[in-house]
Amino acid sequence: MDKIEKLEQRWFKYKAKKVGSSTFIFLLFPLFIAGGYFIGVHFDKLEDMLFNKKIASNHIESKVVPIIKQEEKNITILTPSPLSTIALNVGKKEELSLEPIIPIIDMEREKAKSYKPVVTHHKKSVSKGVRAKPNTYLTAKELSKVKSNSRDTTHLKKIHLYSSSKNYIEMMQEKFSKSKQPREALLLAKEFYRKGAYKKSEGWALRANKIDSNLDESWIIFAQSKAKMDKKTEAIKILLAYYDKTKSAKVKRAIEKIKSGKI
Amino acid sequence: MSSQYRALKDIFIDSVEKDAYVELEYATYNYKILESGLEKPLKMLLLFGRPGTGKSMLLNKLYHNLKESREIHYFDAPILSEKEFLRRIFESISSQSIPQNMKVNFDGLLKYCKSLKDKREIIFLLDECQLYSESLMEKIRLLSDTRVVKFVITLHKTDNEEVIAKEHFKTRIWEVIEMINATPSDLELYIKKKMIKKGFMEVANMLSKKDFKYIHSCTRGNFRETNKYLYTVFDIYEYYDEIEPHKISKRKFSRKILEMAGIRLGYIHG
Repeated sequence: MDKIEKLEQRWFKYKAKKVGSSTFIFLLFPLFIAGGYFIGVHFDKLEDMLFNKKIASNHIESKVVPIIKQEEKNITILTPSPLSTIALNVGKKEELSLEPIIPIIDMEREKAKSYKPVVTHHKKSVSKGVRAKPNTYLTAKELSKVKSNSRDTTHLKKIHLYSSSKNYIEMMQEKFSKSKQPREALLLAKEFYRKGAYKKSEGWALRANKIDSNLDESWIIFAQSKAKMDKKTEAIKILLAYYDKTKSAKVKRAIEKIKSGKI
Repeated sequence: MSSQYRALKDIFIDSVEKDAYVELEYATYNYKILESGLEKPLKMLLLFGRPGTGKSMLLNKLYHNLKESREIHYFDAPILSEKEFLRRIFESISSQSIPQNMKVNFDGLLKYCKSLKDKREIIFLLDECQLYSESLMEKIRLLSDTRVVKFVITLHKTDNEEVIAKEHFKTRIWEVIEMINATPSDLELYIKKKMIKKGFMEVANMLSKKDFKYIHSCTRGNFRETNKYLYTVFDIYEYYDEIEPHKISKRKFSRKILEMAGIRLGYIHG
């Protein structure tokens, strides 16, 4: 008799444990879903938060801040505001513009593409019955302008899309003066950067940024130009300020490059 | 009412009595194979499976069904002494008792068996053969080679798989019947048939499919475990019926009692 009573008590305990654990699971389930959703949505931000901490602990606190304090008044920083030169204030959070970013030409990619002769492209597209995609950057007219001296069409076909000729810069400057598009300004910034004219590339990046302050590329070229002119700390500071607002992976990579001395 | 649960409890006392045998589809199939195997000129037949899968029950049924028509002997408990084993074999064949101070000479027994060739066919049913020594198993093999003595042996699958694998068994055991644990539906049939056989149809109908599934999950389809489990269940039922009858329903089988029995037997941890 006593045995059964004890057994019943054990059963009550077992039942309480079972109900407790199933209730816990029941309550935990929506939390898991919500957590999963949150991580899914804010994954980039979380990743960036961790990254930020790393950067802050490695550089800003130890090296950058004291130097910045000295140069604070002189630092030129690109901001989304129309004024391009403002005092640096890292802690201040500015509103982000949700305007779409204008597609930027990846010069490196263009360079790679340019090794392939145009003729081959044409042949391929014909054989496959696919229409060749028109050049988004330079029209046929523009191309002929670039090589106006040459009348040989076969040579024209071999022209690389990416050109380092003076004509290209002139043409782009002309184009920019007409269109006032940040794309042209940025292309010029890149071209000057590639040529090693960092002061000019900085200037053109600034122009592009004035028109559209949300262009990652303009910030990156600007900072990279600074870095090339031995202003690494300033460059990192600028990019960090921008990164703080946008959490752009591209910017993050640029910061890393500058930090590691690759630029 | 208390007698009802006491009687129900008694149904599930583990035994290999002929009456306790419950006809199940797969058991019937195995039985037929076993019976037809005895008709063939096979020297040995092997029944193997995990404990509680019904090997002994099948052997017992075979013995009771054939004892009138065939010369059959059933050793339900293993005889571990070689001397005693040979004595029992000889006594069973010759129907003579040997004085305690004498022992059976194995060569003499073999000669005796050979002398009976084409005259008699004797069947020995040996349960729990995993407990026999290797030398005794070798003697069993030699006896079966005379073709006068035929052995049906049972082995626990886990314990003696290496014995089965041995060459002499490989070549001699011609019919191997593997016994497996019952499926949930087999177990349901087994429990219901047992209860109905003893006139407890009402209680059998109280058990739902879910209850049978629960029982199967606890016992894993092992007949011996099922008997033990249901014995405990009705033991608890008996207590409530006598002391606190308001705690048990007469219409629905108590899940609480099923779980309590599970706790008592260690199937679930309370």
